[in-house]
Amino acid sequence: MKPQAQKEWGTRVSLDFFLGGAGAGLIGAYLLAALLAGQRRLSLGILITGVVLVIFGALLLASELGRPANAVRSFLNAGTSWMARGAGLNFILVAVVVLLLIVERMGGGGWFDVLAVLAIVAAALVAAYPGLVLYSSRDIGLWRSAWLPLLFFVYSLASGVGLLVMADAWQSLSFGFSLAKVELGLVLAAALLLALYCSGIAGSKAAGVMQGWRQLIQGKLRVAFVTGGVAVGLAVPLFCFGDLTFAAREWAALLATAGTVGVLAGAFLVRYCLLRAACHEPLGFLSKAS
Amino acid sequence: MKYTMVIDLKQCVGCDNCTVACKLDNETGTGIRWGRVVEEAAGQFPAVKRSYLPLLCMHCEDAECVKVCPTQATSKDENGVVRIDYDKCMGCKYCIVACPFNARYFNEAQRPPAGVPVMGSGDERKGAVEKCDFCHDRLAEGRQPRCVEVCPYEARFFGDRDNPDDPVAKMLREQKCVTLKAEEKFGPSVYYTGVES
Repeated sequence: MKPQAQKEWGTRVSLDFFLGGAGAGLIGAYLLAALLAGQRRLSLGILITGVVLVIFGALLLASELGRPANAVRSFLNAGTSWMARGAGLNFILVAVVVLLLIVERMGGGGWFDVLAVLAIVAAALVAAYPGLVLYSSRDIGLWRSAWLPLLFFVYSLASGVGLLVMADAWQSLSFGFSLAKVELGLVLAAALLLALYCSGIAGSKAAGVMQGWRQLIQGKLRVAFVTGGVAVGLAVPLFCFGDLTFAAREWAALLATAGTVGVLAGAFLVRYCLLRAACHEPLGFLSKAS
Repeated sequence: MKYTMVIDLKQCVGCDNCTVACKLDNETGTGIRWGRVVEEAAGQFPAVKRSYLPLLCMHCEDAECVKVCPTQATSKDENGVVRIDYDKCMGCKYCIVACPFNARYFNEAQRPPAGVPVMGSGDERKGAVEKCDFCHDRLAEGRQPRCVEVCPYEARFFGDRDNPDDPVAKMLREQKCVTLKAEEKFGPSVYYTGVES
């Protein structure tokens, strides 16, 4: 009996994971950088962009639901379901950022730091939960790698910091430190995590994992995964942010834009491919019996 | 009480009587089969062998679908039956992705292609995920699940494995009964006997 491909989740769910991750990464990275730089005046544009990305991702997921009216119940099973936790975390992140903006416009005060830290924690959890949603599916070996949640988290952070580098290049955010250097580190970390993840699944003997891996490197997902996820998603950003960090800054804005587009493309395509390539393990003894 | 089904693979001939009866009784839509029989051929001519594996929701002890359901639409009742409250389901399909036995279906209320007869409406399940519930309504009336009742080769047995006098409990004690994906410890309530080693 052959492994069964997972067909339920595809483009819209991977877009939700991607947009939610990028939005949370942008909010978290921006607030952390602002706190470290001692900035008390926040960029409305960056925070609104982050919130819009998170909300748009959630709306895309809602469009996938058969009965979206019942989605309000999705806060109920936070004890065991990562999707329920994710729904709650998305809500908390948006609410805290809106509160933070209100407090900041009213003059800040002691609540500013508390809300900023809360928003950073919520953003980190929103960035982390999609990987845990997939990891908790015990039967899909392609998702049962401990590297996967970490990879998704780093991709979210790299997407957010990439957007910040781009914003900084076009209109200085004056953090006083090189965001491009941070982004270069994150892209390197993503490349390392992807390599560790791939080496783990490439060596697996489970039939479902082997079929998924074949899909990624030989099958119909090869172009999206190898060319899009690895070449465009990692090699282009490494070149761009490396050049931005160590070389002249003549083309800084263009390099930052190209690198960020690469990171965003890679962050989406890797998620999409890992969703589409997933297979359930075969049902078992029938093949032994025959 | 723990409702349990035992399926004797030596008796099953793959007639799909159970599949059709289940569809008719539960009015499932096109492409949705709460119960089905998977067929596999092995070997080379002339030593070809055909095997049949009836599949349905395994009503796992450690049910992945119950754990991942964000709305608590899926739950286990006191008899070990995994049930779906369609009014609570939001149709996110997480349970379908998590189910190790491919036993769940999303009801998109698709109309069949022209010329294909409409197989039940299942309107109350439109937009929700659905699956076998061991014919819960029939059990409440003291009857057997439909697939057990209609099997012409008496390949299916249903009962309470917590009751030592129940024929199913005796089968589990006295015969070699196995479950699918036993090594994963999902604790299915559907057992198979007559499995060749």
